[in-house]
Amino acid sequence: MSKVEKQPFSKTMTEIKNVFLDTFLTKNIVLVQAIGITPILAAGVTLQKGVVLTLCTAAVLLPASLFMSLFGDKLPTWVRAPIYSVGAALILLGAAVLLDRSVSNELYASLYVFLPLTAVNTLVSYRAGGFSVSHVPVVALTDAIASSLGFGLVICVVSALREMASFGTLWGETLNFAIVLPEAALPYAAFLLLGFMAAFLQWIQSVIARRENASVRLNG
Amino acid sequence: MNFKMAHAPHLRCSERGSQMCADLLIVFAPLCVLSAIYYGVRPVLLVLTGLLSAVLFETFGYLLMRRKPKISDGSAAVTGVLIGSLVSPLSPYWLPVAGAAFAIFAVKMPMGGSGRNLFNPAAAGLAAVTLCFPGFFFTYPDPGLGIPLPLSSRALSEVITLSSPAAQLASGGQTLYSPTMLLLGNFPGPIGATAIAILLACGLFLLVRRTITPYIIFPYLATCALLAALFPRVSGGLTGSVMAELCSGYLLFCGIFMLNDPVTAPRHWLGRTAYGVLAGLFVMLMRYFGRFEEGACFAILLVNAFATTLDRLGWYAVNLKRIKRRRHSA
Repeated sequence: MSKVEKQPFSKTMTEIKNVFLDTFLTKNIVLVQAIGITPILAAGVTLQKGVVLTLCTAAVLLPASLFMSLFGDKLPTWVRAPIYSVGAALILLGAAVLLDRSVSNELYASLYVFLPLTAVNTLVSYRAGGFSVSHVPVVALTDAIASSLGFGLVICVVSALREMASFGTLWGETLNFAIVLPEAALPYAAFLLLGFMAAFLQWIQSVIARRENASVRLNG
Repeated sequence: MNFKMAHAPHLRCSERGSQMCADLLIVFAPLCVLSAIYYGVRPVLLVLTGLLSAVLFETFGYLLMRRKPKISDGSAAVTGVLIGSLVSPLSPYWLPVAGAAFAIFAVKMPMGGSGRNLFNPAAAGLAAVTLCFPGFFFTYPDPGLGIPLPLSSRALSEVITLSSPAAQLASGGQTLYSPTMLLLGNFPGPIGATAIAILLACGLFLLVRRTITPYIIFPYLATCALLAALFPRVSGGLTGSVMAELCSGYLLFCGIFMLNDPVTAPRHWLGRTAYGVLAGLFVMLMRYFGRFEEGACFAILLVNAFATTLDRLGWYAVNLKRIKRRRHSA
């Protein structure tokens, strides 16, 4: 059994903290593990789309992770993927109707295929189908929240920068820019941005590690 | 007194990398001269702008990384010159600067500087400016004018432009340029890539100097020629189609100068051959189906990504017998 049914509260809290920090920041789901890049490249063009995709991912990932953590190890492996994909598709159907009717028809139309595609995103299959099955519900939920937040952070930064560069707007509001590069909406710009963000994250971590080493040497 | 310890074959040999770059820079001189004959001083200034900006950016990049600048190896200068010589003689002076900035700051320096880049910086810089400012590319002045181009960018709008052989190929029909015109470089095109005869001579010189390798360039040209012969886009017979495809755009230029970049190309001979064939295939596919009339720089970036895999596969294919024998004996 990989799951530990009963363990002290403080240990669970440390595990939750570690899982959250790892998935959200130090081993960021997109920048380090390179999961769920496709929607960022293709649809992360404006900040509004980025936020909508983040919300949809969270709406799919949280129930899927919880379900898989509760019942995943009782199901045979080949049943798991169809179950959470179909469940995710059903949730997204509701989200699409909600977005279309009560938020913005244009936004829904501009996202077209990328909204339903979230159901088969590697983000869902990796976290819900892989991580959650072997962890207790609290940890699995924490991981789902951290994954959604980590994905959301990256897609929002990338889409905001791309929106400013390609259309000269932010959240639909016009900004005054002298140079507008429409080509920033192409996928290659997102690849470049992701590469630089990943490198920046690695750099920060190396700086922190160096400082910790220095302090250990001083104290020891 | 300091003595340098060295291993057995005590040949007197300067640093290989810097010598290769020096060879390349020497070769660019006649190309610039021919361009100056057709268009005046402007193309030379564009190439020099590219060179200076690339060297400047690389110095700045090294200082930013708190390392000692290594300008003398000449790789930055070659990058700048390559970008400068593939823009149109009509392009503004900031265009090669933008290309060099992308090449150095986005492609070369983040990977760790000279000798560590995964992709050819010049090809990447050129691809970036082609994508971002397509309006400045693929409009070329008429070389038969005999009047030097104005130096300031404002007066350029009155210059008569002609469609290049690559554009004619893309639109189909009869080619307007005879093989002699193509060889002499008497056709509209990028600054350094039109003088086919000089380019061939440069290629020969670099082959003799072993700066470029026959394993890449010959399979590359053969693949391009084969595809041009099999799927002609112009009505001019077999030779007409092959000549037009090989001489137009910057197919030959990229094959000689960018594909042979020792940093990004495979090292094994079989891997190199496959690399050349794949590059030829990609270049021709870009031409047949691409958005622009010439996509050699995109093709080179694509094929750069396969370099390591091809290297490994080539080595395995050649050493397959030895590996099997070793497994049997073990």
